[in-house]
Amino acid sequence: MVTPRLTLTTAVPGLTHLVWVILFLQLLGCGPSPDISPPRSITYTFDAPTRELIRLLAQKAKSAAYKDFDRNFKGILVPESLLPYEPFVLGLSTESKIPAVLLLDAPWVQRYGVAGWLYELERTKVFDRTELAPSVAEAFSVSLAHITGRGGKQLVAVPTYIKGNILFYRRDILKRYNLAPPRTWEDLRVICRKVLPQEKSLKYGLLIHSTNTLNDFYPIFWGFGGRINDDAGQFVLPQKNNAEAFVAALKALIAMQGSIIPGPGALPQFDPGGSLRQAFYQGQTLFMINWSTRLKDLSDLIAKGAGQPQGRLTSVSQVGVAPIPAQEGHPHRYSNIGSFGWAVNRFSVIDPVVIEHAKRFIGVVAGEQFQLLAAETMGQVPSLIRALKKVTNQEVLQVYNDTFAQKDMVMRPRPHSRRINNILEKVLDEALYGRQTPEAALAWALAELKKDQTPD
Amino acid sequence: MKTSETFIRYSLRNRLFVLAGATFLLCAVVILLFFPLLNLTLEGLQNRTINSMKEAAEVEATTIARLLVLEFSSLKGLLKVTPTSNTETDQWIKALLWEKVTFNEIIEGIELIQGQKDIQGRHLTYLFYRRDAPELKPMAGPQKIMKSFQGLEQDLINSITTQQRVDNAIQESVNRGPNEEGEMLRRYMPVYVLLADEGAVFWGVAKIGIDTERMRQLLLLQSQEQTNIRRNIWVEIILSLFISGVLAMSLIYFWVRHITEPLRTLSMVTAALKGAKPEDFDLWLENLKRVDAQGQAEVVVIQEVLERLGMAVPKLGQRLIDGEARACLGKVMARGLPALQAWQAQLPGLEQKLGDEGATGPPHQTLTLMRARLDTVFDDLSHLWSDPAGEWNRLDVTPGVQRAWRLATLGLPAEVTPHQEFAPLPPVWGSQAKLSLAALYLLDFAVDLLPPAGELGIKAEPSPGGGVRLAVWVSGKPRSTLECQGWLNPFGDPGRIQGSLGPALAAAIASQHGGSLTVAPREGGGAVFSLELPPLAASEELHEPAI
Repeated sequence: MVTPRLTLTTAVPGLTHLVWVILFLQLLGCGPSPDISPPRSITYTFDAPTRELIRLLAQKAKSAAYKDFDRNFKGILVPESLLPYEPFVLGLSTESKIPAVLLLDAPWVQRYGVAGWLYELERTKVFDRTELAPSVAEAFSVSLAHITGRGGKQLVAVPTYIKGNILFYRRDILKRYNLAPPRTWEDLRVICRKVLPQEKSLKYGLLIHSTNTLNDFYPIFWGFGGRINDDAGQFVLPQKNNAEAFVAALKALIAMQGSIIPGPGALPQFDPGGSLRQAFYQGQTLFMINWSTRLKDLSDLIAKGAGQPQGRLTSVSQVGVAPIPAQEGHPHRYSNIGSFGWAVNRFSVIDPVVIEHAKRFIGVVAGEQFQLLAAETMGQVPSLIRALKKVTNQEVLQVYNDTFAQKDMVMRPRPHSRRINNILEKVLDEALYGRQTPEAALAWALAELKKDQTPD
Repeated sequence: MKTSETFIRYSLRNRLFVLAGATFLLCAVVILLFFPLLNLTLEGLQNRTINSMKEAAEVEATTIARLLVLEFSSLKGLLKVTPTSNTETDQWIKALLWEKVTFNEIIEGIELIQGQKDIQGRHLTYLFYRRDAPELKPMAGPQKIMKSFQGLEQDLINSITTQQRVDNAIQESVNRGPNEEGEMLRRYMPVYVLLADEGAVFWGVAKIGIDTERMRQLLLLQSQEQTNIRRNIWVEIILSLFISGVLAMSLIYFWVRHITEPLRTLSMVTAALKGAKPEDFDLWLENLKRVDAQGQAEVVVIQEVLERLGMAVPKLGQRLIDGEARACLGKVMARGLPALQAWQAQLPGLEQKLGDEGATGPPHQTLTLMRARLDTVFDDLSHLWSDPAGEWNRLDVTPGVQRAWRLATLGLPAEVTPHQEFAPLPPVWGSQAKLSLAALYLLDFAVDLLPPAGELGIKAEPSPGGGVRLAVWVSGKPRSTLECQGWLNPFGDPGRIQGSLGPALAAAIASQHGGSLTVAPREGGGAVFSLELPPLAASEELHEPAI
């Protein structure tokens, strides 16, 4: 019997036809369905400085991360008028997924972080904390033990720069008298007592802000060992040690009024914005407490050369910076941090892709290129250690090395409660203007805060 | 070979039917196995749909709750309310709750719970629920009460007020228990009052109940749809199986009938051989040739072989009959040989005596008797040795039977007692040689059965029907009917073909003459062979010539 066999000559054309049919079916729409997955972009809070830096980087750098920024990330513009209302509290407290990434002031980071609304960045490998300058990394970390059960502080936001209030001084004058920058308030008083009588152009030994004085007062208060809130966010000012530190710090300021800092009558002249740095620029004061970014402003003023030539600063080298003094014997000096940081909304993390995008976003807006550009153009102190090593702006390096890199420097955010801040601001006003004693003013404040407290 | 009787004949056709049916049933079972899989698929689909609907309802509840919370965040008056007050703000808040619950079908109820508690642990609460449940009395309107919490709700309130966040692990999803709120999806969200100078000030918790009746209706509808789909698919499967089964079995039936028809016909024709008489053999062979093989190779081969066998069998049979006749005569002669030899030995003595004493006297009588006996033997032999085919005519069977008797009893031992009884017989139609041979076959077989001092008998008499009845009997050991019947069917058991074919050939000859042969056990032992021949037919009667 002969078994019929399929010969190669007939099999090959059959196979070829089959392949052609399959290819043709693909053309008819029988192929795999097109990718209809939603665009994988995330939302972030829009802010002008970041946008400007991204625009500059998109022009200068060839990196696709900056050029395709708007394609990958959707900015949410927050009107200036809404910011006082803390609009993101409502979104985060009601578990809204939007915005996915938020630019938050350091006190807000503390508030939202403790509430458990922010995603842990270090443990989840979104960002490595060791890349940040230690002092600023600590300020953007919170304790989540009550939520996660793990001890220690967790990094919940990535600052793009380091900003805090520091002590500005006339380096040329101290050098002339062979004096070192003060570490304690006693040092400052000694210096003033020595220098001021001999330097007639100096009207004041120290200038602090007459409005929003609380921002300048907090580092002084902390330097006296006091706290408003503990690490868990609990209000601890009424505790004896804190209340005494508050009164002591306030008394120290009051004691300097008239001789070193302006008296109550002279304070109103410093109410207008920029008046403090103008006075420092014009050579009216030996010391000034102000934000670290004011060195750039002073540099700009010097460059412009405006004002009376006699006594004003002619070179930025005349300006020295140091941490705000502390009480004698206190191991740390403090700065009220004013940095903003990028945090990830915990409720937006419903997909690993969100984390990947958030990681990419933070890598772009808090990256080395971004911070270097901000340092060179805006005088911002980078928060990344590797960026700090590449900075060429001497003023930025001076601020970092002489203040934030000091071993005893601690950067701490002010209390997040606007109510507490408002009431304590009134306390300062009452005491500095001599309307109440520090003790009485504090007692009134504590009574006010207790009245409106909502413990549960 | 014995075959057991079954309800369905064990034929190729029936086997094919059963095989096809079994194959179809197997396929049907395999197809039906998809039904449990379908059930699982539908179950999975239902679960996924339910989960999706629950998630959608939760998202909807969250969205609605969030929108309400956003609205409450602008109620600065919330910061001024106290348990004892009954201010315009209180009325405004209650009116707002009434509007939200009354004019939104999706909202089942709202509670605004102040985070601050009094010394008794109670919280100021504004609440209003739309109670559609018939067992619950409708609320008169929004209320302002002091509420205490316990259990899960207390934990949740504590969680929100201390941590200021909603924990999904603690939060109950769908409340299906019979409680005051009825069936609703509850959402708890913290309420912050937004102030320009103080930011977001935490006030308390908003508890918003979302109506789940719509979701339950959707779930019920979906469940009914699932049942309908399942039933419809089940009916469709069964119907399609039934229709395909009928079609398949019909086609298979005709197909099997068609392809097995030649084999079935061949089988029937072949089976007819079992009951066929020798004279029917030609007809059987003719029927075999007429079987239409329809080109089936197996049937053609069997048919050709059977035809060749069919053509060979008559010739072999004739040879067998011829050989058996000669063998029978040879055996008879061998048995009578001692008697003949004894006669031959006596002849010289008798001739000598006859010569001495003349042509008279006892020797002469003895010689004459011997010669007569010899003549009779030779005459009998010559008649029986003639062509077995012989001529057929009207005859008297007595001479032939007597010849056979004489030959068969020739040389029997002296102890054997022969009995013969010949009555005048009517004439019959047939072959003298064949009928004589038939008698010889029976007698020879009977002699073989004889015991040493037995009895052998023959009786020829007219039958009651006008024919001839020839009975050959022999004494001996008792015989069974089955044994006796076995003598007539020597090929009944192909494994044991008996030595003599005599009775079978005698039966064939009797049948050839329209008669019959029966064998039965004889009373007192032995057997009786009864050969009956029919009387002459009218056409075989001798007619006087009409002159």
